Amino acid sequence: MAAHSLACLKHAALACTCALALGAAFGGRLHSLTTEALPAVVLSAVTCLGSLGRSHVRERTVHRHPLLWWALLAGFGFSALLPRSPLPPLSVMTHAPDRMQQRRHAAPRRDRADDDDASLFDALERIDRDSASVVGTWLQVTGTWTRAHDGAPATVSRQIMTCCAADSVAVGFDVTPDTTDAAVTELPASGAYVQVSGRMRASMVDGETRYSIGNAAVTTLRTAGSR
Amino acid sequence: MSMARRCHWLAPVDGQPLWGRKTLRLAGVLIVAAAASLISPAAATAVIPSSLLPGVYRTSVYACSIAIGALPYVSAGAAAAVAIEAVAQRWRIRHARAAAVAFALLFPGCDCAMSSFAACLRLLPPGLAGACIIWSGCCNPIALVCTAAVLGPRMLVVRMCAGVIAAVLSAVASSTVAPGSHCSGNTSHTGLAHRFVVNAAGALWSLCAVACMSALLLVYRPHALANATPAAAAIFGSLLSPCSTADAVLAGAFFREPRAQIAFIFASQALDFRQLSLMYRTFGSAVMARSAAAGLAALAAACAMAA
Repeated sequence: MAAHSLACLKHAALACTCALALGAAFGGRLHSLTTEALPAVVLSAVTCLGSLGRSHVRERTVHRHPLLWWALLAGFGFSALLPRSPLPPLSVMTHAPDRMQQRRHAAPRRDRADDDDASLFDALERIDRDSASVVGTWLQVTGTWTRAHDGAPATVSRQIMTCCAADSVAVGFDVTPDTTDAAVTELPASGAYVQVSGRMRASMVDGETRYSIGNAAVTTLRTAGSR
Repeated sequence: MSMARRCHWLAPVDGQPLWGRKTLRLAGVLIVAAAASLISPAAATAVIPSSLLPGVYRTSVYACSIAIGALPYVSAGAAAAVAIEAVAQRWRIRHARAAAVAFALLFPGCDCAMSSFAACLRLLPPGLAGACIIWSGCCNPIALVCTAAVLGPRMLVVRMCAGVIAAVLSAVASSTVAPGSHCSGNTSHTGLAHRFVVNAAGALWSLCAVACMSALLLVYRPHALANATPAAAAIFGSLLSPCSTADAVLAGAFFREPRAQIAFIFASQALDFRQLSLMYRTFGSAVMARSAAAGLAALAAACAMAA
């Protein structure tokens, strides 16, 4: 009996995940969750659901598994809650990632040919090589904007997603906007794609050297949610 | 008005309901699916209390992203396992064993596939099967490429050496376990679809547990990873249990010391909750304990090599 209940739960988890994947794929949410291609996700979800249906129809056990239907409903329902753009980062690393990874995942597709697109990674690499030569210089980078929250400073960053949102890593800089600039009250919303220019600074935070862009001017290139 | 009269369109015609319960359920699911794809996330998340949003919502999104990202690999592994089991039943078991070993060692994808593929490794002696599982997690081709690109050739060599040590030690230690003493496999009389579902659902079940644990750690303890010692990095790796394609990137981002990096990488593939639960599910506690001991020995060797 316990084994039967466990099998029911496992099948329900499979049905729920497939529904979630299909809901995310057809709701335009997949790119913010995983780097897997849409056809691969859809094909695998349809295969799993088809096999699940065939297995239960063949064994004549569909009527004994109402949980499957609830799992499907829950999966599709929860897919509506998933974000259409990546969540803002919890924390931003201020050292360089690898070149191959940034080319593969970090750059938005439309900007790959843009020279500005690599500016953030170039700056991070220069800091890793010789931070003294960069600190104090004027810098201009592009990336995703996150407003200051819960005591954490505002940041400009890029997310490197290797496999899924859970393993994404944000790299970039803390930003201190220019307080003499009247436009500081009109800083963009989190998630906007921005260009930040200012002077590079270094400071010690919790025993770690963090790099920030001071007296920064922030220009919105694309608003949050637009792609 | 009675329920039967109000639902007259459900009334039986010649003993059969006009609209069966299954049809209604299917229609309900399709309506919810269509609505879900049209609703904007902002409208949907507006119903969640704002105090829950920062942590709980992010945790849920991370857990869902892990499950969705793993789904293609779980399906591929389950399909390969079913195909190899079919080969074993209809043709020669020797060919099936060779195919199982080749898939385990050379599959160029994520180690998530191994979770659903492991069932067909029951065709092999437990020692060889355990070694295949460890090798496929630590040293599958894409993981090696990522390690070389992110952490450099030295770390690649250390990772490969650690993988070889763990696989050989595990094979030697598990060779004394009697074949067939582990859990029973899929029964041969069940259909292909049923076996596919058993493999995929079993894998996804443990993967969902790992996904929830990883998401909670990443959301509520993100700073605990920074500048950790090798021992702490190994513990985080075994709890986080990231994919073999992502472990090198995470190690490079979280840790600066090579010993902590390799400890995180190796523990997340050979000593993680997902791998150990896979060993237990497929081969029982004896093989799992021996593999864990082999993994610990290889972890110590890897840290010594990386120092």
